[in-house]
Amino acid sequence: MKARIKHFVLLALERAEGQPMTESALVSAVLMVMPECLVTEVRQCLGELEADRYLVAVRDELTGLVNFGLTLKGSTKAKTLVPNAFNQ
Amino acid sequence: MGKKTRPEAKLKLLPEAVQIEIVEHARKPGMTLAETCAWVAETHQVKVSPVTLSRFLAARRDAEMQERVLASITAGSRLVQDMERQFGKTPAPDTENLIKFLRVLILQLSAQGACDAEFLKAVGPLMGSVLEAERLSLKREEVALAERRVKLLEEKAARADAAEKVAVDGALSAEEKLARMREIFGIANSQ
Repeated sequence: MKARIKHFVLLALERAEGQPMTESALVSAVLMVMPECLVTEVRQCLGELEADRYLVAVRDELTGLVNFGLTLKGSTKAKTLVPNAFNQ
Repeated sequence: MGKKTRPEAKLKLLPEAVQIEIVEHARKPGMTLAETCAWVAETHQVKVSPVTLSRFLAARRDAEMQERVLASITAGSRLVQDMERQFGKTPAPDTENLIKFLRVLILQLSAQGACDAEFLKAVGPLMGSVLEAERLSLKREEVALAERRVKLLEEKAARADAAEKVAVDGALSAEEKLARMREIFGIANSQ
């Protein structure tokens, strides 16, 4: 499950074309595609991706929201991912 | 030991157009899995069980949903980029904050996949109205600045005229002329 979540998160940020996405937007997107996931699982995966330096997280001082973006490592990895790999 | 082939692989190996045909057939109102299996066997000579067909349809549904959400995220991202390109060049602090909030809103709605393209498009004109008001306000400030500049130039010209009159007035002594010039230009007497 975690692998699927991380796979989708990287794809989603790749498709955001450089726009950072908030944690809640990413959680919403994952839950749309994988309704069986738990919110805590998604958050955990975001944390792991950040720790592994695929993502960078920045807290916006105005909104207080955490925005996630791809690092160079994350972007390179995302480009190699096949959409729906877990459905094939 | 080799990887076990999943039964639905038989369907996934079919050409994409055929897979789409199977999905559309299965989605016809009142169509059962068993009937669809029979149709697939008759039309495409592929025998699958209802369970296998069900798994195949579920996988296709998941793939479609994933693509829909990803496409929605891309659409939202492009709207944000357009908005920033049009309105974000040198925004006033309030406008910048508004753009920031809208960026979060657009991407949040896009990620939920629940907002359609028309809704996303409506955000653009809304933003446009707000920022047109911002532009008008800036324009008013520029006009006020220009008016002040003109007034200052008029005052300078008036002082120059007055100074010229004093300079050519033969009735005034040199000291009187100096005193009058100081008055005209607002220079305090240093003595």
